[in-house]
Amino acid sequence: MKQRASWPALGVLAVYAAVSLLPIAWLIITGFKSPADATALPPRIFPGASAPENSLWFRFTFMNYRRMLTELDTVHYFLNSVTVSVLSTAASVLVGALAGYGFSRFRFRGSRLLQLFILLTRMVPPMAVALPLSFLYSRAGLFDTRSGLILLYTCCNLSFSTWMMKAFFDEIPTAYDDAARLDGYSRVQGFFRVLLPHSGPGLAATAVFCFISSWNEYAFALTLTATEAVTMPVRIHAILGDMGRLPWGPLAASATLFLLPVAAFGMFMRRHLVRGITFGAVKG
Amino acid sequence: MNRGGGRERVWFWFVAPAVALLVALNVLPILVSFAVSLTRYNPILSDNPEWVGLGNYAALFGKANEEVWRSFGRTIALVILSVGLEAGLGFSLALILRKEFRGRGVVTALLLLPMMLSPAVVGSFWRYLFNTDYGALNWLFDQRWTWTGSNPRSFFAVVLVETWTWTPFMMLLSLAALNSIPSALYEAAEVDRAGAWFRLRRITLPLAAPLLLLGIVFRAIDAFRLFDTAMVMNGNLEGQPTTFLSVLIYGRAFGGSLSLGEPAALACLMLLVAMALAALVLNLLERARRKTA
Repeated sequence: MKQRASWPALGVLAVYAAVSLLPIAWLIITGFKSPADATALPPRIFPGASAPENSLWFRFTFMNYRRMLTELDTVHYFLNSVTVSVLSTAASVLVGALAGYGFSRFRFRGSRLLQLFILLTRMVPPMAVALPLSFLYSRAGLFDTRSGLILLYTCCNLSFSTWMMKAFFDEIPTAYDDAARLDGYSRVQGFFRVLLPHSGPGLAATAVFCFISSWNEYAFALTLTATEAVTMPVRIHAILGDMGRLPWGPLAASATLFLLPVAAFGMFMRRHLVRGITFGAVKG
Repeated sequence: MNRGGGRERVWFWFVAPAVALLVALNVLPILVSFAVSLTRYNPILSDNPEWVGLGNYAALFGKANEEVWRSFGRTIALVILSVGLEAGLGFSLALILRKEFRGRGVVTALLLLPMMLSPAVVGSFWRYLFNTDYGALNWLFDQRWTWTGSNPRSFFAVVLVETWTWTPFMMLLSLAALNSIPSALYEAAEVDRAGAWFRLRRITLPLAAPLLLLGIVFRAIDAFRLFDTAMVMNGNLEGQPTTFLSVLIYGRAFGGSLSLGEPAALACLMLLVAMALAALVLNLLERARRKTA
């Protein structure tokens, strides 16, 4: 049974979609505005070659993008974000896949308890552990290092990746394990040579989720870095303080560069989204 | 079901790396935090923490610490208001999105955008939209409202941004919940000539409830520990309408305060509440899995 949507319902939907997307569109165009155009009222919303007074047109400029790349040293922070997110995602997916496989295929005492423990770690508020972590990190020489953040983000996503991968492995028939064994592989070899290559979609979905959450993370990046290992979310917020009274253009330009690639990336994973937000419990 | 494995010892090597990492970076900090919370400790003045037992916890309940309880109240208000709005809006949108219309896939995808963007980054930009002098919101309403600082509106600004960000999450879970309802039930209702209201109350809501509830508790846990949006939109001064628990702890622990014992005690209390909520989520997750398996 699939009913067609009524016109009033579609109207409501259209209004919500417009309101919800407007801030994002606004962010993108603000990146191309001069400070004067960014603060003009009524807001200037159409890009043009010049900006006549009291019009809705603004002068389209790349100056924010130029400033971002020159004086704001954005490349350094962007590369920090890329390094930290990519490596922590790879680590988290690998360790999570191992654990997920372990919980999916073996029965042992305490298995259930360990799984609950792993899920529980997802619920710990970052600020409840940030102080002791900064403490431990200083002692261990991990404070303000990319390795420190990679380690921590791996850990933050582990709860998710373990549960997600377990859900995916639960769906792969054990016949694959048996076949691997008949081919003379040990359990560990079989995992790497047979099972892992067959869980491609699961790995991809899990990886996208881990990547997005590392990419967007703020609380730990703020408390565990100072200068060297600062990532984009912390940096972009700092632009507010660094750029004087009118930071909006450079802020919007950096934010656009930072947000849009990942948003596009996430769109491709839509099919797995429901699965992801329920830790693999519910198939979308 | 025996998943082809049985009693091999090799399980240990699969599970050990994950558990070791979590113990090192989750359990250990919590233990350290708890230990510090039982002491008076100022690393600048002295290397040696002074044992005070539950003194820090007692201080949190004392008169001098009213801000802690106000902050707790604000956090609860935020959770109730924003999660309530997200659930209401998300479920309503899902009711529309489950119907057939052209461009449904594209619209659904676009609606999901806000929840994929970094809250710290988008929140910084929202400050521009909320600006008193030239912000788009004030212009739209033709007002000169202040949305930051100690003005009560700052609280609602955060609620609005939170709702904007996470309504798609509830929408998505609602859609999954609606899709899991067998269409035979609606066909039977049709035969019985049941009205739309009856269908919603007697079929849709009860059957969608387990997943909806799961989503609400998930969101409640996240809203309870909200840090990034509030921090970037309104800073970490104490006594502001947006100084939620995480923000308060951050201010006290990292804001150059002298004593670390009290912030640690506060962090432990917060953890305790979060774990109580977590117990709830575990329960619901288990039920959802059984329902859809």
